[in-house]
Amino acid sequence: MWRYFLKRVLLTVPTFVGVILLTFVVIHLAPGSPATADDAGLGDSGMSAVEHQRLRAHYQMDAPLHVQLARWTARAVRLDFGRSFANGRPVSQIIAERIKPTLLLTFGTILIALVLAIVIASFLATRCGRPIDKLILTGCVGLYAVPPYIVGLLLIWIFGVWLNWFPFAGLTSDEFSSMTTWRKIADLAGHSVLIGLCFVGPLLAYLIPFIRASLLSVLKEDYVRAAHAKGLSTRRVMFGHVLPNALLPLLTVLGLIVPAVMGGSVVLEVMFSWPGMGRLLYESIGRRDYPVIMGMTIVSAVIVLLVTLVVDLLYAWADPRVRYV
Amino acid sequence: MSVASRVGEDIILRRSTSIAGKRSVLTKFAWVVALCVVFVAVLAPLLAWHQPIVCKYQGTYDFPAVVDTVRQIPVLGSYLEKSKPFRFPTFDARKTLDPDSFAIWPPIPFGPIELMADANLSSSRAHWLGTDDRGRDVLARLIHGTRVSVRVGLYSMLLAGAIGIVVGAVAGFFGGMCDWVCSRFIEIVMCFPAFFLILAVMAWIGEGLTGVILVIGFTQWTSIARLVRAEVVRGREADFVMAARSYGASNTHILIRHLLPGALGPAVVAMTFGVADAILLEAGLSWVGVWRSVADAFVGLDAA
Amino acid sequence: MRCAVALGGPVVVNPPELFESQPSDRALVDSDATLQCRLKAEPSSFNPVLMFTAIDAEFDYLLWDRPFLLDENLQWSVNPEMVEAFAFGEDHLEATLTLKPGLRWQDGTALTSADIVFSWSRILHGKVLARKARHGTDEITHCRAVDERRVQFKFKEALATNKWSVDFPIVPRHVYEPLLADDPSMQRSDAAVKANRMPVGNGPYRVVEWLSAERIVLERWEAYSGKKPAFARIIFRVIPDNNAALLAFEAGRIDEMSLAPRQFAADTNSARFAKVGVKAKGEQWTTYYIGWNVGGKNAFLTDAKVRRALGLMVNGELINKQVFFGLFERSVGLFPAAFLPADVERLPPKFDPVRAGRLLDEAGWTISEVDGWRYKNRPVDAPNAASVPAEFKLNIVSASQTSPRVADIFQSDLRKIGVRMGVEVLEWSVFNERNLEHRFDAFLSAWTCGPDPDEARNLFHSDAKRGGRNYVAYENAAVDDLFDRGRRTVDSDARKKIYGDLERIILADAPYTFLVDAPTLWAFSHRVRGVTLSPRGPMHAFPGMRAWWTPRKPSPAN
Repeated sequence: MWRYFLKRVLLTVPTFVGVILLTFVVIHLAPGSPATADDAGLGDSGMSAVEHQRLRAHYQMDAPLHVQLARWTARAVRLDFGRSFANGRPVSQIIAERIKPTLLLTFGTILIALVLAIVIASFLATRCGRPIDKLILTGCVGLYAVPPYIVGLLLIWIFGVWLNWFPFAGLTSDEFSSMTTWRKIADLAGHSVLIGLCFVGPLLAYLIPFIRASLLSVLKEDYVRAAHAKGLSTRRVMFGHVLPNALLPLLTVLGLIVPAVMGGSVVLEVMFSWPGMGRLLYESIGRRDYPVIMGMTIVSAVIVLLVTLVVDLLYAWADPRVRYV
Repeated sequence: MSVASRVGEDIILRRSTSIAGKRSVLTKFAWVVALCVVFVAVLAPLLAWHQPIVCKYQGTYDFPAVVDTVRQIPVLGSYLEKSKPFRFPTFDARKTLDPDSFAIWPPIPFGPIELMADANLSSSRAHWLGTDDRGRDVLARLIHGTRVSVRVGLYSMLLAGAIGIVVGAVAGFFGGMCDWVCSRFIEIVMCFPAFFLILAVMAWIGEGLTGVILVIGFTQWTSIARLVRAEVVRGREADFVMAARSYGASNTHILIRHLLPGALGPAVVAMTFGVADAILLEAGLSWVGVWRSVADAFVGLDAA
Repeated sequence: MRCAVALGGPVVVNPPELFESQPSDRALVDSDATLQCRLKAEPSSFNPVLMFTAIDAEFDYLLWDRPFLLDENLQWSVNPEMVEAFAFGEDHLEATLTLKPGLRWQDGTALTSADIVFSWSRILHGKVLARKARHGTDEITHCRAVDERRVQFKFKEALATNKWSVDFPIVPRHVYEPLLADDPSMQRSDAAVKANRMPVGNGPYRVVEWLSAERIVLERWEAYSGKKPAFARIIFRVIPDNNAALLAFEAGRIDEMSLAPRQFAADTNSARFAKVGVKAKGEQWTTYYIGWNVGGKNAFLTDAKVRRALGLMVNGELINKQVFFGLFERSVGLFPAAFLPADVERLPPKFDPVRAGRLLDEAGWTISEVDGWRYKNRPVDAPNAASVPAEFKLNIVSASQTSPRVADIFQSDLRKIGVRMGVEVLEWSVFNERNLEHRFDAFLSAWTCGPDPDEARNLFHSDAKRGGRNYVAYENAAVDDLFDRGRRTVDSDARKKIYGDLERIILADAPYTFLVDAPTLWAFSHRVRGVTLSPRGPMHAFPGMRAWWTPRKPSPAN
């Protein structure tokens, strides 16, 4: 087990380096630069050649690319990711601020979607082929095909504006800093409901058919038949034998879903004025805020690799055969 | 490499068999819908166009909309040219053609980019779904938008499929160092913020459908590659491959004739889902403003 | 805090009570109220020396007081709250400013002439990114503290624009000077970032909370020596999306927002909107235009006759009606009327495809018999001879909602006279880069005119071609000369005449085609009073938000 663990950990290193290298090169070679991005430009202020040169020097863009990369790496290995071009704040501080709402949303929605999906899928698996099964499956396909911003708009209209049940903008209320802990949690939850639903919808659409198929294939296994033959109740068979085995493959899917949800959705975050990572990346790209973009690349790469690693290790633990592959 | 892909592929395989296995009413219905969409996409200019299908103009018969339909076929289309007055930008068929002369118009006699001067009309007999905020016929835009969506979905997934199958097959079949490099490459692309690539490619290639298709194709191939690789790895040790080896079949032969056919199944399923993702992605791109909304790509057709 | 409920009557535009100034009877004014504003994006910093975006500027007059003001008519004036005396010398080459006694920073430290000199030296320091503040300030060669309250300025030249040059932002010396050893740029150390985010200002408000990407809360500085504003707190909410902002407005979460033309014309006529707010519309010196690369490689656009013909193809009425919902005005020229002699009469150009076609024919761009597009030098009998097509690419910014629509209309009109126009959608940074490097045929954009006509020098003077904003590489010796004379002429009538001549020449050369002038379009909740609409909108001129107030008892609206 330990050898396998070590091997897997070492394997992530080249990937990590590759992602950073590729991102660095692409963002610097891509047209546009921080100096042109923040030019107040065609407004009413003067922007002289000297000023422009000063901007380039300020952003340290005069050095060749490999020198810039070396400089950046030298700082990054000391965990110093530099300061944002836009406001001079340390990148780590900016990301730390913005990752919290994203983590809340990611783990909240995935947890809810998982529980719901497992319940619904178990219900469907025992009613395979019946109208309700077909109906929900078709519904899932439909849900998957609806663009999230349409769902978002509908939710805002119905629950935000019309029924006025949930706030639809921002993360906290104005009085947040003076609230008690419980009120704070309730406040955060209230603000997360609508945008959370936009994430839960597609997740359900993806997970329900998946878990259902997985359950069905396990239901066909001999040991399930044996359990039935032993005279166990359907419920005991389902929860004691079928579910644990059927949910194992779910680990893989989680490995794919976590990074996807984590990356956030620019569209939804803009729509709900949500201070998350997706918006930060989008804005940073628009400003060509290289240090922030690089910082976010590292964070997202670490998360993706970490999740894959954990999933693989869990697998190796659950199913020793894979260690020898 | 990671166990994840092996299991993921397992699931997709199961899903694919369960989907393909039943020819239910639902499946049939899905086929009909898909065919209709393709039909609309291919024949768009015959359904909605600013020039007639057939007409008699100055003594000769012309088929402008038909010619335009053919001209949209890649390669082949470039050999065909529209007849004289109809290819002139200054020629307005609706005004110039004699109302009494013979002409068969498409059911929706408006092009997708024609400005009708009256914006936001509600539906009427002339404009079945009304006009949009720029005074263009909504139904015409819907029809031609379908074309764009189908093109984006199909072409980008063909590209993604080609890359994914090649990379996956090479990685899985040759193993060792080759597998190691390919697998790392796949992981790198998976971790890379695709959005930036999209911006970069858009600015390099310039505006147009090609850019969108290339970007989606080049970023969305990773899951296909992983599926194909897993399938090839599994098949490599199978008895029938051993048998093929024993009678001296070459590597290429084994890969193409014995391993790939099995691996294509899951790849195709992944690509089908990819088509939907690609279309949504394209819509997302235009929402973000990186490129102009769906049917605006059509400007390219007769302006370029 | 909820506004008064009105019976959903028709939505009112520019109701008189919105502009009603604060009554002298303080009992009528609610001095504990909270104002909620909308921010489209976060400001980069509150340090006025570093400020450069329009969003940064919204905070300018709230956190900072300066010796000079830009009033609601964009006129220059001395700030009576801070200045005891200000006068230019005889030769207009120097000036002396005397501050009022007893001025303080928000932490209680005295504000003296040393702060002004310090600010001037920071703005001109090579390591400080004073993108906006340096412009003009660099005309001041010397800035010297005569004593605690007096500052003497010396200028490079005796220019009419020197009065704008002395209006540079001031920052507290005692806060920033200790930081300079580590960080001369004022923005690349933790201490400097803190000083920029929670600044020690001298204006009527202080920053008390800044939650990134969510909200910024300002509180009234009760020890402010000048006229204190009515609102005790201002909450700025970051709401990037326009539609989300309108929903937030209708939900009473924000009291003001700028409206897109579509929102003003179509989305705000509901009873729900009428219940919470009113709309305001005012003149704004913002013009949409197309810039032609006059000095570029595209032979079609280097010909002034062609550019005039293209100008005739702008269907201003249609563009205004369809894209801007009839709210805009057809542009008549380069400058606002205030910059020109009173007798100059300018007529909006007419949409005239026939005359445009004739002009193009005259210029040698004739319609081909082969494919119907225009070409230069294509003889009728030799269709395959080398010829130049009449075509160009129009660059537009991807973030703009309206640009693609304008481009669509222009494209479809041009096609009718055989001119092929391509549209290239570029992200802002790339769009800018192409312009700076003169790598474009034409671009569609908008500018907001500054308070002085000399600001346009940077657009049209030939020495602004490299590095300035003369992206179109326009060059005309007569224009250069007039700009040089204009800034040296102090007499206002003579100046107006010069800029009148200038505009005539530029319109004839047509390096730009002016499309439409945009008004200020805004929504305010019923409780807001005391708004002024300057040619830069309700916020970016003095007194701006400082003069807003709300009645003590919510009065029934309408």
